[in-house]
Amino acid sequence: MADTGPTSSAADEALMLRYQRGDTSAFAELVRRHKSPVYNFVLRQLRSTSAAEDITQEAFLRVVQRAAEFKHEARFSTWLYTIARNLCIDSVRKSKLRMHPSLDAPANDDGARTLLDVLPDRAPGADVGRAVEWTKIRRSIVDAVEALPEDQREVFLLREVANLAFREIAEVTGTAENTVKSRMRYALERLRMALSEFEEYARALR
Amino acid sequence: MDAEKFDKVVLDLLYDELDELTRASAIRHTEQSGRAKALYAELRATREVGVLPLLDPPADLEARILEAEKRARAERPFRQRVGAFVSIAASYAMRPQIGMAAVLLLMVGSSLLLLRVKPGAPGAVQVTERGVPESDKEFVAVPVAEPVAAIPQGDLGASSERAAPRSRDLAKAEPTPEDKALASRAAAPAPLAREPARLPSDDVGTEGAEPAEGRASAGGGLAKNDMEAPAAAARSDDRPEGAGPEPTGCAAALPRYEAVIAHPSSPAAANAARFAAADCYARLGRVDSARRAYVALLSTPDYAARARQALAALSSPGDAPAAGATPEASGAAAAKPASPAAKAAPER
Repeated sequence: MADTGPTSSAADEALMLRYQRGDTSAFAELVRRHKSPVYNFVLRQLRSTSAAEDITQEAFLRVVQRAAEFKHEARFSTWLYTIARNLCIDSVRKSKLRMHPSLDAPANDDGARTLLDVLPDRAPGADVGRAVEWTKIRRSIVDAVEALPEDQREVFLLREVANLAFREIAEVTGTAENTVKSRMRYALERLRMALSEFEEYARALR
Repeated sequence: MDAEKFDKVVLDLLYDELDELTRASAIRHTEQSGRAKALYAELRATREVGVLPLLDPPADLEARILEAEKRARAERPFRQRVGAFVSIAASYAMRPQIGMAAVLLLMVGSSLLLLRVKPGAPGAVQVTERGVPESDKEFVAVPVAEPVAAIPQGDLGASSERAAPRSRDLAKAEPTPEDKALASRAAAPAPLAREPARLPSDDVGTEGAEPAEGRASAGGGLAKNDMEAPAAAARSDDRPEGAGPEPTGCAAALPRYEAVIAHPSSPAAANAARFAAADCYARLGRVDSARRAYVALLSTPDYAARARQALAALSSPGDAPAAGATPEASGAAAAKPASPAAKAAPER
């Protein structure tokens, strides 16, 4: 699903160890690896690009401030997404963002473009007809994800965007692994129903 | 694998989180069960279609994060810095390799500390021996000729720590013939230092009977071991009667003297053994053998005078000890001033 790119978790812990010893370049490498998935996870949770930027920056800042507390028995990605998730929860509680704007709402303060407008085109070489169809599919996907219940959407995003295993998602969310799998199963069922009309076409596009 | 178990692992199968064995079992189940196959196909298709498009974060987000990190590091309070340092140091210290190295260094350091040579300590090992057995003491504590000769007669018994109590008693008592013999022996310039007859314990009983030759001046290289064994045997004249069939005294010493004469380590040793053997012959009443031995010594400058005196003594029948005399009688006779050794000593 999401293209998070290959990240070596073992290397993440090694980089964090180096940063604990004062190597700032190791921290820069960690930021380069995780900024995009963390940003997208927060964006899909809060549905605000400015909030996603702020919380992503704040999440990495918490990593800096609590670097000494990091235990190398844990995985860095689990720790980072736990911080990001807690920040999202705090942000929602503070700003009542549960009544967030839709993805169709303006992505920036100038209100010129929507989130769907800035999504990258998955088939840039396709003809106009295919491009229109692909835009329609993307909109449907985003709408379907947005329509998911919060707990299912959270698990879905951690699995598809953050690329965490179910066991790690259970650690991040503080729930049982079977509960995580159950939520994921329901999320996929909902998505399947929402995207059933595009199933064959999406396969053909790939 | 049944349908219920398949439902539990279908998501793990979809996201490839199963081990090989369970995965193979689940795949087999999808091939056997139409329901499982349909369920797995639907989930897989949904996952393939529902690829959530990702937005690229703003280009300056990374720079802002790194700038915020730099500020946070600069503004970190002192306590946090110290805590971070302690945390890093503790993480190093808790490593097993570091711990083992520290223990090794501690062991090596303590060993060096304990094994260090103290300044001023003597390099050589000194051994103090106490409680030497009396029999060994007789051999070890041989009186050196010069100190004995230098000590005045009156101080001899009182000043000598090694003298036997019996000798000290004698020194404090009135002069006796034995004391005179002791004095005459002490006055000799070169006493027979290695001769057992000169040992303190024998001073009283056998003093006069011992030869007082100057072997130290004659050769100086007299083999001590050659003469000690027969001399010790000759000293055992004091053995009480009925002690057993083992030969003692001159009877035991004579074969050893003869062995030394037959195979001497030096000419001086041979002459000394011959003179002692002649004395033993005389004691045992073997006058002819004694005379032959003394005659043989007439050609030796160191023993010629004493040999002549001994021959003269042998010629007078009253002086020769009778054969088979008891050790006490022999010792008493030897203690007389007319003994050849007693007479010979002052001549030197």
